[in-house]
Amino acid sequence: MSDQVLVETPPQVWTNRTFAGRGYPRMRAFMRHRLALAGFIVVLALALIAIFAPVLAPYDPNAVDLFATAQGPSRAHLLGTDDIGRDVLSRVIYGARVSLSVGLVSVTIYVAIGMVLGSISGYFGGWIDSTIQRFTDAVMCFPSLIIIIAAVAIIGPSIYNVMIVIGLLTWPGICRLVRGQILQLREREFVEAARALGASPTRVIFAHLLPNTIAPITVAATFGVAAAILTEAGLSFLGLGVQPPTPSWGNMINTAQSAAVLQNMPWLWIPAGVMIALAVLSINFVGDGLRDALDPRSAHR
Amino acid sequence: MGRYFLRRLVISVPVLLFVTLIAFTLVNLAPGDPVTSMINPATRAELGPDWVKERQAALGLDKPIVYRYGIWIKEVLRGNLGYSLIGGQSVSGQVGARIGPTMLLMASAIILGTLIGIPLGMYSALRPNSWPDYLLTIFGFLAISTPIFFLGLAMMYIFAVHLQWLPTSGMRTLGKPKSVGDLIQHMIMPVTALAMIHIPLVMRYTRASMIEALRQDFVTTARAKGLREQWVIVRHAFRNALIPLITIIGLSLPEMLSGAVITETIFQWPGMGLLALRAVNARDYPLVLGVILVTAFMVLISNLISDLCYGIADPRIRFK
Amino acid sequence: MTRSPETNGLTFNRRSLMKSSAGVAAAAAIGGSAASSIALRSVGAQDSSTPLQIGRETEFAPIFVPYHASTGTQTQIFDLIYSRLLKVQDDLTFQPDLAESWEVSEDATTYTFKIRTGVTWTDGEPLTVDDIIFTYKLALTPETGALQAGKLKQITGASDFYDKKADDVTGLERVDDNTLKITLDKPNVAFLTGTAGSSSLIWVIPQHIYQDVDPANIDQAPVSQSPTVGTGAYQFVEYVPDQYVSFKANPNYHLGAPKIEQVFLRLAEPATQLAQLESGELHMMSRMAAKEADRLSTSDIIDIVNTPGIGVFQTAVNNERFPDKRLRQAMMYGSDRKALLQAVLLGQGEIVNSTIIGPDWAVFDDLNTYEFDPDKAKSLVEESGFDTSQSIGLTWSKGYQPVELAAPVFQQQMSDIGLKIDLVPLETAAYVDAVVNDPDFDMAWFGGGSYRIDPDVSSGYYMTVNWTPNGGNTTHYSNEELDQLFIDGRGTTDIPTRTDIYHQVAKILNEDVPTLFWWSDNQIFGINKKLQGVKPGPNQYIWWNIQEWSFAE
Repeated sequence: MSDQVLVETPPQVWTNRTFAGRGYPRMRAFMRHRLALAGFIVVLALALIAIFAPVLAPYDPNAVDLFATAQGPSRAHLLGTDDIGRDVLSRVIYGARVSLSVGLVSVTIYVAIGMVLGSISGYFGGWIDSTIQRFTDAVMCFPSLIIIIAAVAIIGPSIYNVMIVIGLLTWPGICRLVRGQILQLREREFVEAARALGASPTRVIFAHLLPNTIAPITVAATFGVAAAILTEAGLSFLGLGVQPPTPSWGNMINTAQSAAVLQNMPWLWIPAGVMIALAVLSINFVGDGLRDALDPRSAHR
Repeated sequence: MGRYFLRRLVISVPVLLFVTLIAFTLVNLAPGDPVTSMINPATRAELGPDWVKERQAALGLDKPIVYRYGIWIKEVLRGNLGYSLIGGQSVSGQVGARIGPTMLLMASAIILGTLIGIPLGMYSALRPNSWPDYLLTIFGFLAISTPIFFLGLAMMYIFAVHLQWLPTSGMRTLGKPKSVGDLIQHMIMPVTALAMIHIPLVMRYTRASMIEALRQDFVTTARAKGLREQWVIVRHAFRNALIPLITIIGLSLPEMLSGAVITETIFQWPGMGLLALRAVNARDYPLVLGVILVTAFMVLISNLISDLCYGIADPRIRFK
Repeated sequence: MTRSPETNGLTFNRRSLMKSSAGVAAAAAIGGSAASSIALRSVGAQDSSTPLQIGRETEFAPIFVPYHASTGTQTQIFDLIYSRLLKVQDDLTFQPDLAESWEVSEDATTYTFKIRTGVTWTDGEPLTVDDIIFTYKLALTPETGALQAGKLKQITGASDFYDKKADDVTGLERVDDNTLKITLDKPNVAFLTGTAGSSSLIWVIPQHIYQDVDPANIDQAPVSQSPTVGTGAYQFVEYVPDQYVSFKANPNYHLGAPKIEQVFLRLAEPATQLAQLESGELHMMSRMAAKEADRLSTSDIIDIVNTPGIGVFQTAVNNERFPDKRLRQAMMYGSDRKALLQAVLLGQGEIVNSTIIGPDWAVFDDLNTYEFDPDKAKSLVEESGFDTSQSIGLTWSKGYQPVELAAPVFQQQMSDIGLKIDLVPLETAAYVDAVVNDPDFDMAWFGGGSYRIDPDVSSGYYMTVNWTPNGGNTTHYSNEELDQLFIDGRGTTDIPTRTDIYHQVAKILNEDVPTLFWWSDNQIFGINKKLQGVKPGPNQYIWWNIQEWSFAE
């Protein structure tokens, strides 16, 4: 592709590099990055909260109690209750499940699509590459939120549909990333050697090329999880996110749309808001740390 | 270089067609149609089934989807974006009226974000891993991890309702003649909200590429030649750091558009996003398609422009 | 963000219930006290040059043709720029408008209107009986696609005219220069009653302007884009999409020249509207959430006006799938309606036990009140023999906060009496498909309607002839006795006879519970204290007396 220089310019400064070597030094670089370490601990904690939600939550997140409605924090309800007496703490805990799975699942979907299309495109080149790249261009031009709104309106808003729609619309970044990597790698000796030994394209791609793209993809995917959590919150604002009564941080912080809640019932939205900020923040720190750790040059900073 | 851009323009035609095909299919698969979305269900019930069928036929909605896409695309190629199914105004007129406000909002946010982001990023890059660097990093991440609707509403309550410094929403004070000062007052909050997406982005990339650039051989050479440190930073390192930034700004446009949908909704800014939302909800197919087509076109063009700037900023790049 | 059916909504969506169930019963006079001049931000002196700013939601079809008034914002605009034969005021009674007086024959088949003389259009042309007849005939022209056509077909000869079998509508008669007589095929005392958008009282449009417009393209006609010729208190100035519709005073208005020169109808999301109201930019907003009203009740600059609604919050139970009334009664006993009303609307509404909620003469007090009684509910479920392993789907049009909250409560309370409920929230369009267009649902939540205006309104929802999709009977409930009562009830103008009939209707509905009855929720307005003279009526008639509004000095 002659215009590769332009199209390829990656959003991440490290992408045009390959990543040789693995293991101990990187780990140390990562650990040295204090924010990343802190972020990692928080992410781990959130993941544990999500996994052990049923054990940790003091109440059923959907159990209503019309005799304990809209109460502020108390000993019985550490983070208070909402309008129909549901325990906010329990909903925040279960919300972790929902919000984190929205992030993880949608990123998994788009990383998978991006990797497959990107490696096909990069490996085969020629008209296959052009076609896939034009397709990628098209998807990239989409004003994504508008399409997501239209799509969610069609298939109906639900947690699964939100995941699928975000996943189906956000892969072009990964696709280009993988393609760029593979374009550089495929002329290298070890690939030539594999080909000379009669390895099939599938084998070359999966056994030799893709493993070398894992590092940058991991970093991109990390940022992607954070972005997906925010997208879900934005969709909730428009009434198209995860649907109540299922709690998500997005639809919980959305209660702050009511000025009365914003001003007089902060326990309804602050916890969810803090969780979103915390999750996004720490996931981003982890991504940042990973990037530094995986990029040989920034490691010795 | 001219040929290069011509080629990219030609390539964008199938891209745009493809965008519209997907959009057309999506919108038409949605349950409900402009006829039923227009009337309230109780009245709908009073009217009986025939009324709906008659109206659908009058709007051509009874034809198969492929046929309707064919007709639509034929008209688009002639430069006619069609007419709104609701109200009957021309789509190009409605969309055209929104380009200005949206561009004003987005351009201001990008300029503001860039003007704030670059110095902050440079500051960070010159003192990597210092406390100010960490603080700025945390601020940046905090800014992107705050949902924009929350930021917008909070600002509105603080600055418009409680402090009463700024008008809540819209583009002008009703009942008063239009003036630039009035417009700027109305722009402050939405532009700031939208710029919050942009600042951290610019900041992070400026920081990263500055650090990279400062390490390059030519910078070392420049320093060795005894050039003043500030001059080295501005003339050499910054110029090189700028290059990826241009692309970053180009690539962030779709995301800015998404942010604009929400910002416009909160601040009742009469832009594309608000129009799109209304069109989707009303199942006003031609309008939805018009919005998507025009926004996709805007993104394409801005990518082209950022490519162009890229070429100007970095003379080493030659367009083949 | 869904576009929303307005006045007569059989549905909910984001913020639409408040708007649907509008209403007023001669409510507290508001804002009038002279002691309201608490200094607020100097927005400029509040005199006649201050533009009046009223908030409306963005869910609005910008079609300025009275035949296509599908949203409440449109009906408000038409009320401002056009006039009807009669208008409805805050106590829900008819008042003279273009007709100075009117008369209904005893058998409820002939309506005679004396038309006011000296009314002129804003372009100086006089308004005549011919304008009115023209308006009605255009509504009965099929190409127009008028929302009122169905109702107007009750007029003698209207169906033939609609089907092009006749050149004229025999039941629409110009008696003399100032008299119009409308004759119906069958008696109907409730002929004039109805929600604004599809009411038989149409906003009269100028014949001299519209006679050359092709009915099939009426929306696109230049005059429909800029309807500056009217007979209302205000004249249309401009529409700026997603921003506002503006108007200027009509000094020749037949009910008196308005005191406020300029009106802006500002379009914004409710959260934005509220901020505008609190900052003093907006003078009035309707459908304020109970929580916000509670918070603002001590405000220095805003008066909260709380008025009874005219709609009823209900859950349709598919009677074909759940024919045993004991099951439906069990659901009533199993629901703690009072606690729920308190939780979701802070008690801003009235628990109802049938849909016959007004006017006062029609209301029957001696109904079963279905006090919360889970044990009785359980035994009724058992008696009905309902297979409780089966789960029941409950659908609603998503986005309206009180339903979003009520649904999980209902689900839990039903599970307490052994019924398994699945929650199925749908987008408005999908909801309309599933509940009205092509009925396929177990239970569906809806609100709105104009039940309080006349008891006959209920016939649209419970008569067998009105089964969906031919009418508003979503539950496919059928009761021959009830059908006959409704026919008798609209066949006479005699109030004692009607009272008797509707008491029986109420008893039947209360016993059979074809739909679960919840409450009629209040309509809450926020009004800037400087704005005086506002007496908000049912939703679509907020400005029935706008010519009397003014700003306090």
